[in-house]
Amino acid sequence: MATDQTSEARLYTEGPEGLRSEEMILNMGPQHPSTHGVLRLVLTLEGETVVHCTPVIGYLHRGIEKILENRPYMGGIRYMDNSDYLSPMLNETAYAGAVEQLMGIEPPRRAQYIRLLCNELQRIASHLVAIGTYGLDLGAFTPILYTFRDREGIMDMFEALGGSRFNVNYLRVGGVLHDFPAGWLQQCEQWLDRFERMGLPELEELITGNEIFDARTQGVGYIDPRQAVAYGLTGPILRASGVSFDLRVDRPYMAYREIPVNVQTRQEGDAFARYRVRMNEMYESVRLCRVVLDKLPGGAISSRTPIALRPPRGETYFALESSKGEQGIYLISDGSEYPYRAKIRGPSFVNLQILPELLRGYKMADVVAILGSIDVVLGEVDR
Amino acid sequence: MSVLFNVIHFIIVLAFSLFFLLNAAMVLVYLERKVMALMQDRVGPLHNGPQGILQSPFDVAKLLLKEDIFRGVSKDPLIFQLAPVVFFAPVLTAFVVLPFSPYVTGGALATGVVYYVAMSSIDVIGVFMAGWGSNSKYALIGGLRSAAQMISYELPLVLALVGPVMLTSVLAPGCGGGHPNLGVCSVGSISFTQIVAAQMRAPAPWLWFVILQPLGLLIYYICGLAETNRSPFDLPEAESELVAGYLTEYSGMRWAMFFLGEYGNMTIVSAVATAVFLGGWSGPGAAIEFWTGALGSFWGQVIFNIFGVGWFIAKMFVLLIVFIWVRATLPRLRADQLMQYAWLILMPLTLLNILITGALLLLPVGQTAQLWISGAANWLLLLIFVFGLRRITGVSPLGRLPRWMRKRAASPSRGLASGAPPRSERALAGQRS
Amino acid sequence: MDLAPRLGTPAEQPSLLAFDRAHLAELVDDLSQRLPEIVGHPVPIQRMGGGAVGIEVPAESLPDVARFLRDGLGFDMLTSVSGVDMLDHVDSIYHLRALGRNWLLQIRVKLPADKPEVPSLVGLWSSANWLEREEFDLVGITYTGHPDLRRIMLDDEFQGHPLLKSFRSTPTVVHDPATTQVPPDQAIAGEQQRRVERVVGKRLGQGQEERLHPGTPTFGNMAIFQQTGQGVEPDETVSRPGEMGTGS
Repeated sequence: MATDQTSEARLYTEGPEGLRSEEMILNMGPQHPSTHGVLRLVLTLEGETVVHCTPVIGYLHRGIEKILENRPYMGGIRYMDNSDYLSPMLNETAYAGAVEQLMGIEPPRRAQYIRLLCNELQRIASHLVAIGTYGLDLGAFTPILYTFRDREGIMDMFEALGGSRFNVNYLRVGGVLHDFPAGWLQQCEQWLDRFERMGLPELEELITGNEIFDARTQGVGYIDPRQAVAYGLTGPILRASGVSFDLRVDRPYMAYREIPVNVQTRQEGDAFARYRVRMNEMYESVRLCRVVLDKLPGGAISSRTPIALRPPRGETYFALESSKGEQGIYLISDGSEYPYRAKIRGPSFVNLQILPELLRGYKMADVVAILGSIDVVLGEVDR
Repeated sequence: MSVLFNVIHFIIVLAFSLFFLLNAAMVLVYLERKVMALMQDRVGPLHNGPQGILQSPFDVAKLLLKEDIFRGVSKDPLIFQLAPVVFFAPVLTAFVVLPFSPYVTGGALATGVVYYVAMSSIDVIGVFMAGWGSNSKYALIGGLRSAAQMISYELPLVLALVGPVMLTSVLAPGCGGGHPNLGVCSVGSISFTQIVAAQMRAPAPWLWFVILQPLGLLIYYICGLAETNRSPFDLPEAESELVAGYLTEYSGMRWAMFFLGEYGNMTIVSAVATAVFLGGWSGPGAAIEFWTGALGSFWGQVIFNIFGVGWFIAKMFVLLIVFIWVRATLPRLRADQLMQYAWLILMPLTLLNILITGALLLLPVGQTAQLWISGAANWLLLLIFVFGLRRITGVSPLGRLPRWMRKRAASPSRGLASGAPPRSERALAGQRS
Repeated sequence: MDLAPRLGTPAEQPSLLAFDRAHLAELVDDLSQRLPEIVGHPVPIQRMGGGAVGIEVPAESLPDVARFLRDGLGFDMLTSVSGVDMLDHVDSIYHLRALGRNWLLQIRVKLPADKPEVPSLVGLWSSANWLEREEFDLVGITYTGHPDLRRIMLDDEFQGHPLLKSFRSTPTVVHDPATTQVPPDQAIAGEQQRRVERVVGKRLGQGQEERLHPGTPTFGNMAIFQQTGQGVEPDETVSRPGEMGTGS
């Protein structure tokens, strides 16, 4: 929320004939169609070229970490939904996983597979929103309606599972809330079929190979792999820069130990590569969902845990691959029913840091093209 | 008697031109919402009237009742308030020359094309006034972008119309063709009515100029998209960057006038394309000799004109639906790419078209042969343009190599060798500065 | 696109625990050999859940240790920085990843509760910038040498650090109504209203010519000093337009 001192400074540059031209300071956001929430960018523009950019965040700060300290372990899961509100399942898995790691329990195999299925569906949903809104940022109106139509199927499935479309509150420490309702698996399979047959090819036709889309994204927002690692970027952004780092493979958790994942990487490191990585990850997620549907084991969906969880004193760091990168939870327990400290390491927050570095020298129209390709969710940036 | 007819003629044409523009905008808004909904797997407006057909009138009523906010917004209220008028008036006046049919034409000016071009270039002043008068940064950037864009695309737009005008001189009565001395022919015309008439003469029954000048139509249409600030050239009001561009600070009826002007502009661009390239009112049923022979002079002309106007409007709306189709399909260009496209691609292409058309029309062959040769050359240019564009736009925006020449980037750098991240120090310095 | 699965079939895949044991021994060896030289005394090394290794270093030797970890052991990514209020002291905890070797390391730095100060790591990892700013904001740890240490989540005027255990509640803040509807007693506008706007613009740091709508939320700046007299210095020339008649 803190404002930048440089935004008050008036910068002057000398023109060719001694003319003084003033740089324009443009407040983009917090209410703006394409800042993906309430991000505020203080842009210093020279004509249409961005000279300096200062992101100002915190407009959506709800103090989730403080709230988690005041809720029992089971009650905290519901608040994780609000962190990255486009991928609540993944957040819940991270929190539940952290508590399980702290307590040293392992959920039953069926629960792990259910979690994996939900995670991959959620990843598809999140990537669909990312790609749809990216199209909107670039001025293409249609993709977002196609992606939201496909995402609607996932939302329906989550509603059938957890009772809620958005804040699902489906995971529990030691397992999941319910088993699949009758007919759910067929519904899921039908959705996967339709998505693969109709949804993805439509998106590919509409966006991939479109000359204007290529011209707007290729070579825009290049991130050097070393720079990406130094900035702590994770997820599709890092993989689009050619660094093959995916926690599902590098530190496999839960059912990912049994189901191998193909890591999707691109070498270009520009906005187009990030789009492409997201598309490829959707294909990969569909494949993983099918594998789970094939191999789904029987058994219990939840291990027996006490109602009031009291993990032993200690600390742990658990991270999983969210749709936007490494979703880490650093949890400290003092032996009581409440976490002593729960730190959320949000991928969007860390990924957004590189924005000022990226924007320098690009045109104003590229601001939204680059910001959209980073795919931040302000609920998680501000927490 | 003749005076009375003239007065009635005047009233009919005036009412038609005025109400046609307003109603066309309304119909177009409805059409846009419905057609885009169809393309986007939605339903569009549904609740007001059957199939939501009353949505547009309700919108108009709503806009009329809205508060007109300008106090405290602008430091230059006069410019701010005048801008919508300056934007809208030329659109209305440009309607004068559109030849809906030989009878329903406001003023069959001999200088129709030039008049239209002049009127359509006044628009930019209104947009710039809006951008400046709003006292808002988004509006200012939008206004500047718009000024640059409209002025740039004005040139290829005019040059694209030159080709058909050249063809009219070949088709002019008395021009046998094949003679190097042009004095033998009578000259062509820049009157819209004459251009339409030229497309209905021999050698073919409906020799629409789109057959002879497809490239001209394409370039004219692209420039028309840019002139009317439609996607993919809607940078001045790019929602994702500039909120609403020069419209940001407007509300109520002033905003509606911009809106109306924009849709009126689309209508005019389509109408001009119809008149110049698609044969205007010509089409099956629009044959004056047949109807006057069958029904007598008066009723024959009435029926003929109804057919003519019908064909004109039908062709126009086909073009307008292409506007909508393009909007539903394409993303937006960036400002520098937009200018590059106008100056580096469209301008040379139109000039080349004029050169080639002119050269071929001087060939010492018969008139028909001249027409077919020039038509074939134009189709060839069109194909080269369409396929060459892929290669040209492959150039990345930062001026690197085209992507088909670019080599693969460095090998995957999994497990970066330990070492200082080279840019971290620079980033630090950047943060300090 | 990496099409071949990078792991074999599930049967031949080693269990995570075995994988970790052999794999972490290397890291623990390296750390136990080199760290005492840098720090000057033995460093406790512990193995933690999830295949992480934890070390604890004093604040003054943190930059040297971090440089060694980055340049010597290949910890090229600073994943997260956490601040924890442990009542008698404050912990600053760093999680580092070595992408090449697939290691996860946790560094704990104990800081005194009354004056938590630790050298910043921005010079080594760019990602430390915002991560440290966040902990400065929420926990109150001062990262010396940080180029831009400001509050990031909360207002500039915010009092206290919410993630400290001693932090009970926020000061009561009554926000100005964020609406364009001005109450009738404030509709006098004119000079008073302009003064309010000018001050608000200044506090938001938006540049002098920035036009602020009267409905722009002011994040409670006005209300704080009017009610409590603290938090921000009251500007003598400004009073609430509605309160003009009260003679306060």
